[in-house]
Amino acid sequence: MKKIVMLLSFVGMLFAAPPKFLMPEEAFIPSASIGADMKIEANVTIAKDIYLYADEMKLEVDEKDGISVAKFDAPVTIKHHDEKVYLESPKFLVTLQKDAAVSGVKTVVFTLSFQGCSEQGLCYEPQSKNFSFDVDSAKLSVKSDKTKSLDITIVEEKAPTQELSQTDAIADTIKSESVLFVLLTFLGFGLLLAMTPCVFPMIPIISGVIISQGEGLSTKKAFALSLVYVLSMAVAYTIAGVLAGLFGANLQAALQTPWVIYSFALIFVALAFSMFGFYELKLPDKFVTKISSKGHKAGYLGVAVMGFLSALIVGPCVAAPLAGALVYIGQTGDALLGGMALFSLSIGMGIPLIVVGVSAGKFMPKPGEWMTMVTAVFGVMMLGVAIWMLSRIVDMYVTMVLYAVLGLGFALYLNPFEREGHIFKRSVALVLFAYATALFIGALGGSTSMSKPLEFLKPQAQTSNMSVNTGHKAFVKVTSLKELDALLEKNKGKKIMLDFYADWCTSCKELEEVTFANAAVAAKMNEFVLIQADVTANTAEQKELSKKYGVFGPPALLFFDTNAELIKAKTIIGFVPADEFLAHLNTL
Amino acid sequence: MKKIVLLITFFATSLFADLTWVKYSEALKIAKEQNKIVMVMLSKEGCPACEYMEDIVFENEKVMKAVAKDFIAVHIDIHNDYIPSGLTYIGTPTFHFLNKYESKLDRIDGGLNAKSFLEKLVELTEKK
Repeated sequence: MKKIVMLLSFVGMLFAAPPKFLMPEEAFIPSASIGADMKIEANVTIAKDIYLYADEMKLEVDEKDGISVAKFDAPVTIKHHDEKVYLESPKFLVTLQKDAAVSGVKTVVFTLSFQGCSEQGLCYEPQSKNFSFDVDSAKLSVKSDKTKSLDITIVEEKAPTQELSQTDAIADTIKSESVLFVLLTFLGFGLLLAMTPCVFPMIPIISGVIISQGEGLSTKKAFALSLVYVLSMAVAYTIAGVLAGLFGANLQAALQTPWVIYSFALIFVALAFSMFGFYELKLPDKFVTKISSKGHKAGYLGVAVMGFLSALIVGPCVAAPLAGALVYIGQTGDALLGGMALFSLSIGMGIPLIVVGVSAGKFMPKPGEWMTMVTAVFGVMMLGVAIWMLSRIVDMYVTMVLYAVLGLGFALYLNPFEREGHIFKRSVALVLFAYATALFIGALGGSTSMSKPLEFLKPQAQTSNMSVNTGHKAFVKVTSLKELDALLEKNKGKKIMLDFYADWCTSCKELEEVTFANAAVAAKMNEFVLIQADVTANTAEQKELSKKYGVFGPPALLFFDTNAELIKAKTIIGFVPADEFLAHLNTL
Repeated sequence: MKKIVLLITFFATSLFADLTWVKYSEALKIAKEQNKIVMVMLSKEGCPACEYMEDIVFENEKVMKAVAKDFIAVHIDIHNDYIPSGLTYIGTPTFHFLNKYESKLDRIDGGLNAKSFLEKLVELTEKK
């Protein structure tokens, strides 16, 4: 009896309607291939009426050889039965990365896992397929600690954002382009940066240094001296940059301590006084003979030291190309190429300075009245630089008074009221006199603006009106990660802009006075919660802030979405002009 | 004693006409005793068609009555429960129907709407 039943059931099975569903291997056809750029293209070809769960997609490599998945780009998903799915055969692009120690060609097993259902009412089991690829690790970037554990970036109903911040784009340029191209690009960046206030203070310094070499300076020597100045400046920038990239420590920020600034300001005062002819600035003879048998070489050494120090102390400006090079060094550990890029950048910044230095030497007049005048002008400029340095650590009030005194002193030296002398000299002196007086009165009146010292004299109502119309609201200052996190949490649901700022940061002031002062920009900025991370003191807590957000130094403008998540691609490093900044804000 | 419990369950199921899912081994026993067909549903989490069957088809009055009358329902989660040998599937939901001799009568791959599912049940009942 049993046998018959079994037989019957067997026959029954035979006659049972064949499944109307496709077998899994017909429903899904996985495939993968590797391109010359060592990116894996993975596809799952799905049959009609089949869909794939986006959350079940897994693209993995066995990491035993130190090669891992950096990221993968996934196509757009669609909401279907309350799940994120692919209704069309999706295509993925997997970018690999390697651990620092990995080299040569490695065989990597790539596993593509997926799960899907049929529209007709059947869900298939998770499936996976392995593929084996020979991966040339030379073409992979090095895995950085900063990369978060692999997250699938699936963007719903929206094309995946491939947008890179300018900094990352520059870092990528170094990675992918030829060395020559990278160096030329950075040279170009340097030339552009030379036109910013970061480099301006170097102009009086180099001219002063050249002129203080004294009479009878040949063009050749002026060139040589300028070159030495620029080279040592470039070396300083490179060293500081490589250190910053490798260890995340900002040497330049570390040097912005009051005593370093006081001493450097003092050096400029000393230089200025030597210009005025109070004494001749020379290293002690003993010292000179120790360094070199030929006395005149001391000039080069002094210039070299000056170049080195002014790079570190005078112009700690962070701009996008600099940050890009630092990010590259940090990510790849490749200090050589990164350093070369930085050096190239600094040389670019220095080329205009060489021009300035050479012309300072060339047009240096013969000893006489004019010579005295020229050296006096440079002396005053040196004092100006000294005050400018001090302005980072003293009150604006003190700075203004000092500038005023300097201006008045120089104006009186030029003697504007005497009938003799060139009309040009007298008019310059008179304007200077008027401005310096205004500055002095302004300082006494509580004004803090160098460009509008007398603004406080305007009727109060009008000024307050103007500030309503044109000013952006005040930044909320934070100096520690704890304060920032609390603020971010509190302001969830609003757009947030975080500004990394320091008193000693020239570009930050430029941003404040030029870009943020623009009425349209200020109005747009008021749509954001404005937070300022003050890293002036470079304390451990402030360093922690910079480190958390990968900021090498101020200025850096970071933006957060309404979930208080950083929008990395929108980060701005360095100065940005008003119109560009406004356009940037409008994209947020 | 066991019989009484079974009897009560039986009455309960027919009274309230709610679907009772029992264990596979128990189902085989009951099927033998009551000459019923074992209906095994293989399902898993995150399967829209399975949810459709549970929430819509098995909530259908006619389906419930038909199942209660001639079937013993077994539910197996393919990821968490033991799957008896022979109960194969290419996906979920999959239904296996076995007679009291543990022989397979039929198999349904995928979900069906209440009407088609009912037709299938009736067809199977006749086969019994």
